[in-house]
Amino acid sequence: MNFAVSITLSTSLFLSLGGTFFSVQCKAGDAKGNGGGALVCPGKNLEILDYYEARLFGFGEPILGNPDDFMEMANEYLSRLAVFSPRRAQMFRNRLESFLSEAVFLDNVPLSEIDDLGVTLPPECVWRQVVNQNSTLLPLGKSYLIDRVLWSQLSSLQRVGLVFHEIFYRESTSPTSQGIRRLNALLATKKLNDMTLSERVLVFKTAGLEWAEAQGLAFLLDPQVEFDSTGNTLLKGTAVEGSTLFWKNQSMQLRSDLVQFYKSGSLKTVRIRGYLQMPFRGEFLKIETREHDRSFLQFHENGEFKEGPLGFQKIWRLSTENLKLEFTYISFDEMGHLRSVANANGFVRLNSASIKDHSEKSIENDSEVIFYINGALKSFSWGSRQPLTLWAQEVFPRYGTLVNFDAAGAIQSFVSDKDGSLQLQNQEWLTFKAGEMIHLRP
Amino acid sequence: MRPKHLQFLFIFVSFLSSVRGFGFLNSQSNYHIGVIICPDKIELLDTYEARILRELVTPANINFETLLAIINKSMPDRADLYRNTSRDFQNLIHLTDDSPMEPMPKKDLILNPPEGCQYSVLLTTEFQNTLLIRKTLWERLSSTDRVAVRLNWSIAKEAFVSNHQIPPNSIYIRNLTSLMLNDQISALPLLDLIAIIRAAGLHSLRRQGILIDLMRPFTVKDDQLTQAYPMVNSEWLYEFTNSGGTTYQVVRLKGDIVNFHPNGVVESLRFEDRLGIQTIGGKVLFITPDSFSTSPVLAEASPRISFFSSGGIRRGFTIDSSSFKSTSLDVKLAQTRGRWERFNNSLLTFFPGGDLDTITHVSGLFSFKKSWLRLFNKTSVVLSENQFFKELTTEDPLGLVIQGRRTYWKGYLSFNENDQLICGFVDQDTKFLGSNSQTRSLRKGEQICFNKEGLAL
Repeated sequence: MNFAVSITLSTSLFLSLGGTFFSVQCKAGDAKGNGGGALVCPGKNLEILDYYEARLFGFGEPILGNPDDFMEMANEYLSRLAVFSPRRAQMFRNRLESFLSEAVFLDNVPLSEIDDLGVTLPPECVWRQVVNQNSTLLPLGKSYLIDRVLWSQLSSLQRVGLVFHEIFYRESTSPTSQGIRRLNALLATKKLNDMTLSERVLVFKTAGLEWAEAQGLAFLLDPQVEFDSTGNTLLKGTAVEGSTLFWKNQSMQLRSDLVQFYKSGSLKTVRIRGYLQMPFRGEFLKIETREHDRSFLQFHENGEFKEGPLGFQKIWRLSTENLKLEFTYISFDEMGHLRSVANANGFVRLNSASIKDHSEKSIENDSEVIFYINGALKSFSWGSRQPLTLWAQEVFPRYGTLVNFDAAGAIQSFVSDKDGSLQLQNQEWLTFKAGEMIHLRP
Repeated sequence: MRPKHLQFLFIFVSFLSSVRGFGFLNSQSNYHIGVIICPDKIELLDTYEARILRELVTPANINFETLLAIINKSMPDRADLYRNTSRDFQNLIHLTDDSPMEPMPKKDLILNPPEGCQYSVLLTTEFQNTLLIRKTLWERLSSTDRVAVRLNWSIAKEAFVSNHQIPPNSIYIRNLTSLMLNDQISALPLLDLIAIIRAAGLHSLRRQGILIDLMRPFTVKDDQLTQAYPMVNSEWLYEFTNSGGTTYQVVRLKGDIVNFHPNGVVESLRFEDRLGIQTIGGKVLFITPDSFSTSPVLAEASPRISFFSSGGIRRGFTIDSSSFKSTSLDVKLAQTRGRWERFNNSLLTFFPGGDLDTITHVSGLFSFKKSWLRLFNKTSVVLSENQFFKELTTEDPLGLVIQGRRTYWKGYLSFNENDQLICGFVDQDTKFLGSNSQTRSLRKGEQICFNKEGLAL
């Protein structure tokens, strides 16, 4: 098939990246451009095909407000669109404002017919093309070729429908305008409101649109998106490159990658450009997802930040009286308390009545260090080949295995590297073998 | 020397010949050129639509040479091509009224004829053997319209050859014809021009010296290409004059991306064969081989040639063991190979003024302390902008007189502008007088540095 050719930005509608990347893309409509038109029936006013089909499909009549006020109706149309696609509504407002200045009006030269409209017309009626959109054939800055005679015969209500038909077409890649007519009709008749999100997304996709919006996310319609069983919540979608998503008043610029939501609709995972700032112990953590690693920023269902990798632009340190750590990954619990740091290196000074040895113990390279809500150490990966003195007796935790503590700092369990025995505080003796997990009861 | 435009004619025609594949032709239908017939006159559709859609009033009495001159302003190679292909038009043309009048196919029309007028086919062709023109209509056309018919046919033929099929829609070819006819092409912003050319079924446009493949992505900034893919095997003329002389050579491009400087000059590209460029050391045959592909680093695996925004050579490889002679060097190039390369080569980089910056894998002589020092075959040299030795890397022992004694050195050596060794690795056990007046002993392989007085640090 051959369609009108245009040069399109292949990066993003939202992001301006240094140079601008262009590629050649096929457009909707037939080879001569899209034809927005109207039915001419004896004894009746002109009616655009989109509205005729709205009745045919049982959507009813278009209702957009005062039928004599073009701008009021156009604003109502954009308000409806903004509920489902606020970014697109803003783009369309700009295109609406420039519509007439981009038009070339024809006097006494009718536009040609289009062979296959994909709908059966009443026998007494004919379809006439009112607007042809094909900037390649028009002077610079012009996009629409309009039959002035027919245009003048259209009511304001019909003009609103025709203008938005053309504006939708501008971003459609569909080989026909059938999908655009259906979307236009659903918006004008307010029937889009009755649909579930998944049904609306299908309408957008059938219209040849490349992206839709839900839960604050602009997502691509191809590859496939995933919804919950009600069809009203987006669970998975691929973000439009460079689009934005807000989290606690911060604007995250998204990579074109998978975004996941909880069934409640709150954000679960995302990959971003730049970084997200998180206040943490008097400074701001910079959390980022770099291009070449596959990590995600994760959030709790209550909206709190859960975990993510930290930027490499500085060395992130956690330093307390008994702990000195460098790390590149951090996680928090649902209340915003530090849960753990990972890819961590450093030292810990164990400080508990049960532990006589207060020398610094190293934490194994790139281990995860987990904390209690009060900040006390919960577990870390043993990084020393030296013994640990528990109640005046030496034990040898196995290198690289977890040593777990209770909230008071007493050791709860560890894996022994050697056979041995240990007299507990209750004077009982505990005998263990190398490789066994030793559980100590207070 | 062949005139530049003539050169491009051969380049472009030979390129189109290379894509010509009549075995793949899908000639289901014929191509048509149409007219609008009104009671008072007959007008070519191209000029009619230009008037209605763009308000362009085509000047009268344009001849084909004038038209080619207009095209030549923005697409010289295309002008040459159309001069050539229009000869086929003259050879194939057959004026006849034998068959009944045919209406123009509806798919080719965006406008219906005004009341009292009708569209009719003027010309029918399948480009190879037949070109039928309705005689009575042809004779009533203006001379400008007849010229436009030849141009329309030439554009359509290019589209036919490029796509291996009859152009499915003539409307965009009429659009391009009328823009050329009305001298509108050179004023178009690049993106608009590309959209119009692409819509007409043409795949290429020579911009900033490169025959760009319009079917592949490209970047544009300030109406200039900054990145684009060339047509594979298309030819590129490198023309540059420096102190070494003038280079004027055509090479065939690989299908890899071409980068441009902000001033539009080619920044880097890859090509087949060899590109001989006059440098300060003589003519060097540069190459961008695919055979370095064992390297894990893409830039090393697919080396490019780079140029300054002046057009002068900035960086490139050669695999020819030719001589390179300058005031400070007299060496043979490409004496060994690096880690990943499959054959001997030298990498040469230059300063913007054309002086040598770096040269690798050479052997021969270099000027050192007013005499010549012999380099062996694994030597790489970095020069300062005023052509003093700055760094030298050698895998073979190099004898240098330091503190009055000849000692042997190896590996990385650095020099100051007085040809004094700053640091180096000794290739023998030796001793040097230190800056603290003590003798410093060194084992083979140890590094030592010297101060300005030549004393060991």
